[in-house]
Amino acid sequence: MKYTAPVADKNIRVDHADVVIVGAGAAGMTAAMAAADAFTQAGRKDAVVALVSKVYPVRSHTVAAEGGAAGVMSQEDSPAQHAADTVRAGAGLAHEDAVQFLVQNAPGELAWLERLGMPWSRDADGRPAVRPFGGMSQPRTWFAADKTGFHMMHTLFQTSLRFPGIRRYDEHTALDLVMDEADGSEVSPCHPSSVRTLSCDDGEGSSSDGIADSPMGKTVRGAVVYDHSTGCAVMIEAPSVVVATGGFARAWGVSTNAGICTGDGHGMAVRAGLGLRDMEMVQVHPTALAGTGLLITEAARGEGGVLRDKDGRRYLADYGLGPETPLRSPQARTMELGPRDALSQAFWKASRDGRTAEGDVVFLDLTHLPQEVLDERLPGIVSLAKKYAGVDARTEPIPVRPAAHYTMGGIVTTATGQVLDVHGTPVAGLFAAGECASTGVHGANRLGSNSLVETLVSGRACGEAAADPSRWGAGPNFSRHSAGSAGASQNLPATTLEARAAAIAKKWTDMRGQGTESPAEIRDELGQILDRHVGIYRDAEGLQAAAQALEALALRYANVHVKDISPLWNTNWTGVLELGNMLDSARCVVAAARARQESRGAHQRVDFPGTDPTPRHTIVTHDLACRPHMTLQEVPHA
Amino acid sequence: MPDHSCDARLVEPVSNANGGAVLSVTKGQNHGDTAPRSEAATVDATVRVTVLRQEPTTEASPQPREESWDVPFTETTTVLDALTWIKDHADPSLTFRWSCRSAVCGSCGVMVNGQARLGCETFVSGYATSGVRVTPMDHAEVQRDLAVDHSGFVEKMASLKPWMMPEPHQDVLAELASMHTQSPSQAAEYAHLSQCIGCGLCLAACPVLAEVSEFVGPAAIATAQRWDKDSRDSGAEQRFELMVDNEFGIWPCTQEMHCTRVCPQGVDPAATIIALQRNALTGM
Repeated sequence: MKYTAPVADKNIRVDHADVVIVGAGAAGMTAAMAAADAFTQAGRKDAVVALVSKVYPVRSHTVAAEGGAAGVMSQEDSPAQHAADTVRAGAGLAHEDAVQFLVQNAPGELAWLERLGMPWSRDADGRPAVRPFGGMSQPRTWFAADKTGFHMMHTLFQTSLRFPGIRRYDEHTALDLVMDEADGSEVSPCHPSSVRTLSCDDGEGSSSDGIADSPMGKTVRGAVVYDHSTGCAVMIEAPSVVVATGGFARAWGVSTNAGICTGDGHGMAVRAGLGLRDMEMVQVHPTALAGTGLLITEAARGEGGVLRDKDGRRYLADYGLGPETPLRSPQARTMELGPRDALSQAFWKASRDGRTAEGDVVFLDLTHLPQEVLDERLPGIVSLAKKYAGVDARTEPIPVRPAAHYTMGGIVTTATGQVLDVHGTPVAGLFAAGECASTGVHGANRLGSNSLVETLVSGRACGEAAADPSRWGAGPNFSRHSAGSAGASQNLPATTLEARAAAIAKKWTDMRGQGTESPAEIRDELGQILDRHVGIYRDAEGLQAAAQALEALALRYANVHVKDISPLWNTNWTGVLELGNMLDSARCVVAAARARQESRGAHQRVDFPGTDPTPRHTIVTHDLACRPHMTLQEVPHA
Repeated sequence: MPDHSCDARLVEPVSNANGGAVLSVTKGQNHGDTAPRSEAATVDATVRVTVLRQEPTTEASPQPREESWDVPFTETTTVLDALTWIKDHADPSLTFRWSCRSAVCGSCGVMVNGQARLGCETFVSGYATSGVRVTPMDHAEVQRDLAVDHSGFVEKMASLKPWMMPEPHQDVLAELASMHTQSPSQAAEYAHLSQCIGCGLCLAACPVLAEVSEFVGPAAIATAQRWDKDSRDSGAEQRFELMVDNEFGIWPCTQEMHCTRVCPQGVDPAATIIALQRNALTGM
């Protein structure tokens, strides 16, 4: 199909904002409102918070979160216990300061949502109810039936409509961050076309050929986004940027994630020379609906659902999760309420032992639960099973199997979301919140219901900090100007920034009409490689095969075929951009997984079953050829 | 909304040389990754999928065209799977929205054989003999192919102030003690109204919107009522005025119930609108 030549002679414009937020799920939306509130309190009524989403905000993957959000609620519970559970799950990689920041602020954030109208499920006294959750020693998971994330997202979005200071950029795709080095020179993002022929020996340790950058701090200048309705790239210039783009577990073939969970923020960060931490830590959810990967919430087990093998036996007891608990009496951290990684590992072993049914599935049995529990607390699950598996969960067990679910690794930040470069120096004005960030909360494994509350806690922290340059010490290059003005900052005229943004955008838009490699084939092969080699259990041989296969895919991606050349609503092209981000993220995962020669949390090596006495982080950056470059870093302990 | 100052000139629509052509597809090919895996190897039938396509244009009279493909399917193949198959195997330029695959994100609304449906929960096996005709949602401006402009939907919803009133005071927001109590039965009052996923199917199905495009529509009214019926909110009077003292509020509704029939979440906007009309007329 041929279209006439693109669009405009001048296909870029520059917008000014006071804060740019990339991503409008729960983390981005919370950050936007927190920033807008901070500006209001500072008397800055003219301030503009630019909220960029590649979809309409309520399409964000937050809506798919089912089970709940953790926050200490009862007298029997305490933040110290919540912290201890979280640190234990993190298996040596969790940071005490980040965990404390989360658990101390969690109840307040959940109360804030309540005040905004969140329809929390209630106990008989009219207080928000809490349910038990895997790995949590106390019931502290607040929930809204089995659609907690859905209700959070809509409560946040509807509330955001009353904020005049939030300027939404719906259906704008973020292309790259624009950053300066400390000396004012530009950070030039890596691009797929710079992928070179490889000698695939990286990943087994550190060498010194990473991107050489200044130990002085970088400064963010804004983000380049693409407006599908006009075919314009837009440089949104701002003194601060919050990246809140979610995870990348869609890269796996068998995944609970929505199509949009493609690691766009991870890709932008690593292309801009920043480090990604603990990328090998990928949580595999033990119960996804067979055939579809759709999530069956852990709450189904919290409410008393049990897992059975093909013969109806509760196989978890045979793989270290016992002793078997009576039906309808779930016990914290035992059997079905063990940590997610332990349950997924038990599945792997049950499958090896021939205990899974046809299609490599086990069964989640809810048939013994009272009708009112299914109706009031798990209605979405009952409907999902009926619709997509033809199973009546009231009378039949649901066929389930593990699927890639949550990516613990991400952009390196402080406990409160300030992005750090590879030297540990803050990037002035750059923050990351939610799943895309590695704040140190989740460590090597995330407890269910910690991430949903993290979106609120870290979203607010990032939004408030982004709105207050005095808190992150804007350097001499920084000059604030009103978002409404057409002015430029003092040291870098807007034309320069516009030219830089135009060059970045052109690299991406030039992919249209080029190449020969099918993006659908690359995407399918990426999913298959990750499913096969980077799943519940890993070994050197598989990871090496994955590394070679992914480098080959990266070379093919450098010649990817974008048939559709339309500048408007070109989903062929945006799908290819998302594929690039998934591929960048996956290559970092494999590099990190090869380097971590031990078993810890979600990273289980058949060939290295033991855990090193000294926990270390993996940090992956891009080298000058845009290949993953690995270093190991000691875990800071407070 | 952003100020579109970049002087974009839209592409001229180009008639497609292969317009209307039927591409027959070899049976038994692999599905894309959204297709069900368990049965991908046993594909033995195809269904004719016809899509009404349209290029982005500023022209007053766009030129939609039909294209058809024979798409392999199984019992669990959805309309969304079929569209994805076409995009992966036949025409990468086919434009449609999707994300969650499980009827909660609201992205993939289309007309399937004239009925407003979510592509991800409509199975093509029910159309094996008739074929599937997929067209963009009615009563909305087509951006490209099956993607329609959704911004009016959001503006209409915002016009009825779907947020807690009065605005909660900043100082007490983070205090557990400041939370409202709400009994389970009070929560049940608005539970069904809070299920709206914003897919817009009710707008596509609403016959009134064919005549009165300014009508705020079923979703916005149902969402306003979600707040009105919430024991924690005191904005019902304000929203009532916005809906009643407004010729495009509740009054254009002719009570044909299409919105309720197509709602994938059982929200029942029609009952809500009818009750509001009665209330406004009788003060009951």
